[in-house]
Amino acid sequence: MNKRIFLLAAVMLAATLMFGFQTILADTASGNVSITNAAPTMGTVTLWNQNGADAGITLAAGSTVIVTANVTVTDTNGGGNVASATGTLYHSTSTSGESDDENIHLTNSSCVLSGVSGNDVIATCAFTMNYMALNGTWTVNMTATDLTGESVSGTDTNTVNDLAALDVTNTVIEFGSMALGANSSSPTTMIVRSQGNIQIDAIYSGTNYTCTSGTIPATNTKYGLTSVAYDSLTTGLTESPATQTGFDLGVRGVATANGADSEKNEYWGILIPTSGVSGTCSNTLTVTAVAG
Amino acid sequence: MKSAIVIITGIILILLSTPAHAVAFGASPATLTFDIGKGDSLEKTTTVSTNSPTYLGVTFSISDEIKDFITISPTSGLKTKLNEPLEITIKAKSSFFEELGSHTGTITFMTAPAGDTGSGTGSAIANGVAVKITINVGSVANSEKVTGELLHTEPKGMNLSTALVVMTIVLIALAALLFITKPKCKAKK
Repeated sequence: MNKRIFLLAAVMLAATLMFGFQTILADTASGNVSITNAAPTMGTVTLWNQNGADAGITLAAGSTVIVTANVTVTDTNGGGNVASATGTLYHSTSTSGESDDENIHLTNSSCVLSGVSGNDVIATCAFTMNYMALNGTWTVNMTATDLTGESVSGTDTNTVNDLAALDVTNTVIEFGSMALGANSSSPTTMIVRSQGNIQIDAIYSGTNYTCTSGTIPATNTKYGLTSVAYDSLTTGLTESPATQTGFDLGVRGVATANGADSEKNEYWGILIPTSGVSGTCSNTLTVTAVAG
Repeated sequence: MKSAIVIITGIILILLSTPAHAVAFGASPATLTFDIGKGDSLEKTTTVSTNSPTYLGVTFSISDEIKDFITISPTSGLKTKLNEPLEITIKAKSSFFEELGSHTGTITFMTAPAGDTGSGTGSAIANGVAVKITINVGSVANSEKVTGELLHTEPKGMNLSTALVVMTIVLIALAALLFITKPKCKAKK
């Protein structure tokens, strides 16, 4: 009997020690798995226009528009593993690696990462395009980089439309007080400024002057690109539009240094009739930009 | 009361059409080409824009060279201001009897004068922008032109071997016909 009890006790002790040690061993074991990094991959990059449509980009006169590009970046280590995204937007005459230029190159060094879902994350780059961004084909190059520094890039292209635009810095041309029969001994200057992305010519037309008493024909006004007295001004104003083909106002940043407005002076003079008018006289002068 | 309404309306109209300072004014695209066939039409858009913080009233004119081909919409209530560009739809249409050729002209968009000459003699300046239009009337519209390499297709007529077989059959048939219809010679007695 004692032998049986002793044997049972021995078996229980052995079992306790065996399972007990196993438990202890399990508690103290440590796993050490190293997961290698997977480089991110990129879906299709899309460069949207200023309205968020996959169509040509239309700039705004004397102002800016915002265009965006986006792409889905996939990282099999998890979408949150994508650390950053950058983008460049450049004209066909430039390359991705060149420095920024208001006419041909833009950079966004901190594009937005959003919408992490599993292994995916959406990268969105916004670019502010100013009116002088040249027309033609533009390419966006987006790069996404993960936490270990591995990166992936993709591109898309879109077209920027031509923009003819101007700003006449004067709102009026004042000839001042003049005697009957007199003409402008020195011309009045009008400044025309480019506000688009193509070279332009100017088209001029004017109404006849309405005076307190009487009228002055529009043709009594003369203009030219050189500051000279009335008699030497080259062209007479007409009621029907006339193009000054030699105006050739270039694009800011192309005809001038980056950041410097592209402007041209037009000089104006008037001949007051010898009789038939009195008081103040005014007309409307229309200055029209046209691709040239 | 009526006079007050008239004055307020006048002020609103002036504010709509007269910016207090010089502003940029432009159109994009500034050049448009329409390739259309006889009796066809095609629509494109141009966008008129400004950096004026207040609304500019906009008027337009179509040059004589193209006015018979062009309609635009909208035609009334045109206005634009900063961040509110004005989109214009331009439709070019040719009649079926139009001669083939090219027509060029402009559509000019204009603002009201921005300033007032005050008490002296002078000119109030209005801004404008002209969109160059080219209409090419062809026998076939651009969208219908065949592009890419020509496909090889079998000629609609018979090939040479078929023609020889047919000719042989015809000759045999003719010979048979002649033989059947040949008058038999009778020996004169």
